[in-house]
Amino acid sequence: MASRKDVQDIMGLPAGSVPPVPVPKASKMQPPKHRKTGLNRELEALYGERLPPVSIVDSKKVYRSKLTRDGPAVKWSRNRFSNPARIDGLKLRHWRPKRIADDDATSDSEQDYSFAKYNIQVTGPQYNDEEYTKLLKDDDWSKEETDYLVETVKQYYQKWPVIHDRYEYIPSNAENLPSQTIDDTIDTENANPSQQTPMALAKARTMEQLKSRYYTVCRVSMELQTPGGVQNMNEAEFQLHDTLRSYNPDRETRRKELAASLLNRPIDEIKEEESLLVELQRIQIAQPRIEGEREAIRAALEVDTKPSAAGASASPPSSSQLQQLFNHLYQNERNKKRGGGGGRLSLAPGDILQSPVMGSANGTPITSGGRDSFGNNQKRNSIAANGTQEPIRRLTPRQEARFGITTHERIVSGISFRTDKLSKMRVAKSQTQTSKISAVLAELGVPDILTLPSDKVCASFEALIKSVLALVEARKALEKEKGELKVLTQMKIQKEGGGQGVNGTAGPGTDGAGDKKADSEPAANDELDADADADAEGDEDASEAVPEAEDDDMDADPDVEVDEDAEDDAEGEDEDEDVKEEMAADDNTEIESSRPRSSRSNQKRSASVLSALSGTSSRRQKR
Amino acid sequence: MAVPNQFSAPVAEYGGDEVSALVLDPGYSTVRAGFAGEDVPKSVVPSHYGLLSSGEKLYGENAVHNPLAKMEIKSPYTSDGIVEDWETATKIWEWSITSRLTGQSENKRNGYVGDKNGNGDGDVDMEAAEAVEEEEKPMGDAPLLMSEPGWAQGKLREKSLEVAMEEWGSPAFYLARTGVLSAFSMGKSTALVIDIGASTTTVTPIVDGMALRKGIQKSPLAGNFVSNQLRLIFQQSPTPVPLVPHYMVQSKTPVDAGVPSAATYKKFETPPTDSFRHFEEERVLTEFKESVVQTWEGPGPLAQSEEHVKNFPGRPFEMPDGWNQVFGVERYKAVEGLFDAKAAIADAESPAPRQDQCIVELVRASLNAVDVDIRANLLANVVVVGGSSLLVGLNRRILNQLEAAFPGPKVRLSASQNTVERKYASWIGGSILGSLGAFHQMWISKREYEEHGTSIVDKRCK
Repeated sequence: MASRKDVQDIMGLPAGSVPPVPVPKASKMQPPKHRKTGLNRELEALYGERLPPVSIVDSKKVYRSKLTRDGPAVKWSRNRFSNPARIDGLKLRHWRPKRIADDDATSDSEQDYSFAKYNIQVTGPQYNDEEYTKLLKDDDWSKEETDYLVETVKQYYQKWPVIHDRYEYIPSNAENLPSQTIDDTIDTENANPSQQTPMALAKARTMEQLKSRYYTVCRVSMELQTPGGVQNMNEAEFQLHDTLRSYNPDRETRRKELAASLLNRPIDEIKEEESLLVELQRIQIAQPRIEGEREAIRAALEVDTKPSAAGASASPPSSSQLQQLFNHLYQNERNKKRGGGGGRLSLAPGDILQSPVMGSANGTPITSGGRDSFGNNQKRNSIAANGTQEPIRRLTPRQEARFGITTHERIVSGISFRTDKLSKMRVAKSQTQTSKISAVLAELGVPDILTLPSDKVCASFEALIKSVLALVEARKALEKEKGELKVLTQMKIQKEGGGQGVNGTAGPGTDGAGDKKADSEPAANDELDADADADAEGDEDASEAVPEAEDDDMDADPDVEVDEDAEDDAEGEDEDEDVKEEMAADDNTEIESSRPRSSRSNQKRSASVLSALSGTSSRRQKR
Repeated sequence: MAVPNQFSAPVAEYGGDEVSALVLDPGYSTVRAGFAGEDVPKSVVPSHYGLLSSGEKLYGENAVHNPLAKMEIKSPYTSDGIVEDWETATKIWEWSITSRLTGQSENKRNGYVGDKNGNGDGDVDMEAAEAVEEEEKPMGDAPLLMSEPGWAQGKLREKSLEVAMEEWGSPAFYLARTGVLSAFSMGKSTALVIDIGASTTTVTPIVDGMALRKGIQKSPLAGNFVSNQLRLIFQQSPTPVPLVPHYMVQSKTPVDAGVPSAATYKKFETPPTDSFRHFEEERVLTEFKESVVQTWEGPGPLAQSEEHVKNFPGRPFEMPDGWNQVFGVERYKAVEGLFDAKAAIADAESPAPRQDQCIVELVRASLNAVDVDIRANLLANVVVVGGSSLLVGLNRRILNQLEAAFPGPKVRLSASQNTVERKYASWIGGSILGSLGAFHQMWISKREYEEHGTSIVDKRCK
C-alpha cells in the first residue's frame, strides 16, 4: 500500500504541504440504531425496499407520562363550613383537601366561602310615611299596595314577567285600614269613598301599571336621596332618572298590542313578507349587474349615434338601425339567459312593441325637446315625473314656445324621428326630380342633414320643400312651353320663308321681333312663374314668418323683449336682426306683389333665411 | 399551561360545591332519588305499593311485581297526579332514599361519599360523633332538595317541608318546581317546558329560573292516556288482542301471527288481585309503547293521511304468552289523541278528551297567559321532557304543530337524545341545582323552619 508520502512523491508535492486529515470516526458518532423487535421487525422485513404506505408510529409515545407525585397523597376531609350569605348559621359539609397547616380540620377553617359573593340583594326605593304622603300619593294606589309592590319587585329581583305573574295584592279588610287613617288626615273628603269600594277586591294590575307605579316611586326616591335634587345627579343617575321619567304606560301597552299582532300574524302574511324580502335581496344582488347591462346598452347606443351627433357625413340612427341594435341586444340577452340567470333588464320579444325603436315613423312626439338621446330622455323623464307630481299648470303661449311644448289633437302612438321624416321629404317620385330637388337645396346651401331638426325647423323645411317642388314643377312646365314655342316658331318661319322669299332679307328684323316675342313669351312665362313663385313665396313667407316670430321669442331679441336668455351672444342677435330685415323686405315684396320679381332673389332670400335658421339652430345646439 | 386532569385542582370558574345533598323527585310512575352532583338518580322506585290484607305495605320494584295472593297494588296519587295519601307517599319517598342511598340505620357507614373521590381514604369516622344526635332520623345527614309539580300550591308545599323536617330530620330543605329543574337539566334558565309524564302533561313557562304560575297548564293526556288508548284499540279490534301479563305465563310455544297462543299458564291457589293484574298489564303496555307505538309526524293530523300511513310497514309484537301480530296503522292511532282530540278513541268509561287538553293548545294557552315580550323567547326554547316524550316521532310532531300554530316566531325544540336524561330530566336538574355553590344560601335550614314555621317555604322557594 502506498502511503501518503509515496503519493506526494509521485505528484511532486512538497512534503507537509497538506495538513494531516483526521480520520473520521464514523461509527461512534452515529446514534445507535433502534433495533426493532418482535412483530415490528418482521413487519419491517415484509416491506422490502419500498417505504410503507402508512408510517408506523411507535405507539408507546402516545401515552401521557406517568404522574409523578412528590410527597404523599393529599388527604381530603369532609369539613363543615358556614356560608356568610346565610344568617341562620347553617353548617353544611363538603369535601376539601386537607391542608397541612391545620391538620385537625376544624369545622370553621373556611371563613370565606367563595360562593358567598353571589349573594346579591336588590335594593329598592326608600321612602317614609311623610315623603309618601307628600310626593307619592296616588288615588289608584294605597300606601299598602305600594309597599307590597316595592317588596315584590325586590323579592323577584326586578324580573317583571315574574313580578307580574306573582303579584297578588289582597288589600286588608275595610275594618283595619292603616293606610286609610293616614289618608284621612290628609284629605278626608275625596280619598275615602274612592278607596274603599274598588280596593276591597284584589285588583288585577297590568304590567304597565306596575311598572309605571314602581318607576314613579323609584324616581321620587332618587330625587329624595340625591341631596341637591336632579341637578346634582351624576351622568348615570341622571340617565336612569330620565329613563324612569319617560316611561309611558300607554305607549307600552300599544307597543305590546303591536308586538302581539306581529306574533300572531297568519301564515299568508309571513309568506308574503318573506317573498318580498327575497325579492329585495335578489334585486340588491342583481343591482350591479343591471347597472352594467344598462351601461352596455348606453355605450352601444352612443357608438351608433356618435356620427350623427357629430352632424357630419353619417346618417342618423334610422329605425332600421335601431331595430338592428335591438336585435343585437336581444340576442346577447338570450345568450346570457342560456348561460343562466336572467337579470331584471332582460328583453323579451314583446318588448319590441313598447320600445322606442318600433314606433311608427310618422308619429309625433308629445314633447319636442332636443334630439332623442338617452341623456335627454332622462331629463325628459324627470320633467315628466315632475309634471305628474305637480298639478297641471297653464302655460302662456310664449312659455309653451319657450319650453317647446306643443299640443296635438291626435297623437299617433309610437315614436318617430324627425330626421327620417326630413329625409323622406327630399325624395320625390322620380329620380330626376329627386336630383333636381337636392340640386336646388344644395344651391340654397341647405345641408343634407339638418343639425337640429326642431319642430319649427321641420315645419319650415317642409314649406321649403313644398315651394321647391312647385319651382321644379314650374320649371318643368316652362321647359315644356319653351320647347313647344320653339317648335311653333320654327314651323312659322318655315311657313313664312316658304311663302315669300322677300322676307328672307328682312330676316334679322323679324328675327329680332321674333326674338322679342320669344322674349316676351318667357317674360310672360316668367310672370306666370313669378305668380306661382309669389304664391309659393307667400306660403313660404307665411310659414316662415311664424317660426321667425317664435324664434325671436325663443332667442330673446333684446329689441323685442326683456332678455330671457342671458347666454345669447351678440352674433346670434345680429343674425336675428338680419332675418328680421329680410322679413321686412319680404313683407314689402308681398305688398308690392303686383310688381314682377325674379324668383332668383326669392330663392336667395329664403336660402339666407334658412341659413339664418340653421345658424340659430347650431347655436342652440351649441348651448 | 397544564391540561387539567383528574389530579389538578378544579378551575376557579367551576360553580359546583357538593354538599352530598339528597335529591328527591317523586312522580306518578316512579320516585327518583340520588345525590346531588351525580348524573343519574341512583334509586328509581315505583310509586305504587303493595297493600297486603294484613295492612302491611310493601315498597319497591321487587315487592310490587311479586304475584302474592291478596296484594292490592295502590298508588298514593290520585289519577291526575296529586298526592292523596300523604302517609304512604312519605313512606315510599323515604324508602326510595333509605333503601339505596343512606341505609336504614343511619350514619354508621359513610362509604358512599368516600368512594366518589379518587383517594377516599380520608377519615370518615370524625363525623360519626357529630351525627350521633341525628342518628334516629333516617336522613338527618344531608340536606334534601325535593321537586314538586308546578301547580302545587300552599298546603302541599308546606306539607312537604313539614315531612322533611319533622319526620326525616333533614338539616336543610328546598322545594323546587319540576319544570324549572327540567329546564336546568337542559342548561336553560328561560324555557317553555313540556313535560309529558305518566299521569299528566304539563306546560310550564320559565323565565330566569322562575316558573310563571299563571302560565302553567296541565292536562291528563300523557303516558297513561296512551296506555288506555291501547287498551281500547286492543278491545275494539276485530280480533281482540289478548293482554296477558308476564306473571301468568308458565311457558310459551311459538305460534303464527294472529293465532291464539298455546301457552301454559301458571296456577295460583288464590289468584292475585285485579289491581295487580292491571298493574302488570301496564308493564306489557309500556313495552308495547316502547317498541311498537309511533307518532304520526305530520303535517296535519293522522286522519288526513291515514290512507298513506296504511302503506307503511307494520311492526310485529309478541305478547308474553306468545300471541303475536303485525300492527299497522293502529300503532299510530294510540298517540294521535295527544294532538287531536277528535282522533282519540273513547268508550263509556273513558270519555274523549277536549281539544284544549292537547299539547299544542296547552302551549298556546300557556303563552297567552304570559307577557307578550317573552313569548318569542319561550318559543325559541321549548324543552320536551318526560318518559312519555320518548314515543317515537313525538318531538317532530310537536315541533311541526308548533310551527304551524306559530308561524311567525322561530320555534326551536330541544330534547335530549339520551333516554335517561329525558326520563329523569327534573331529577338531573335538581342534581345540578343542589350541587351549585351559589345555591347553598337558598336552603331552608332547620333553624329557619323552627323560627318561621312552614310559611317560609312560600317565601324562599319562589
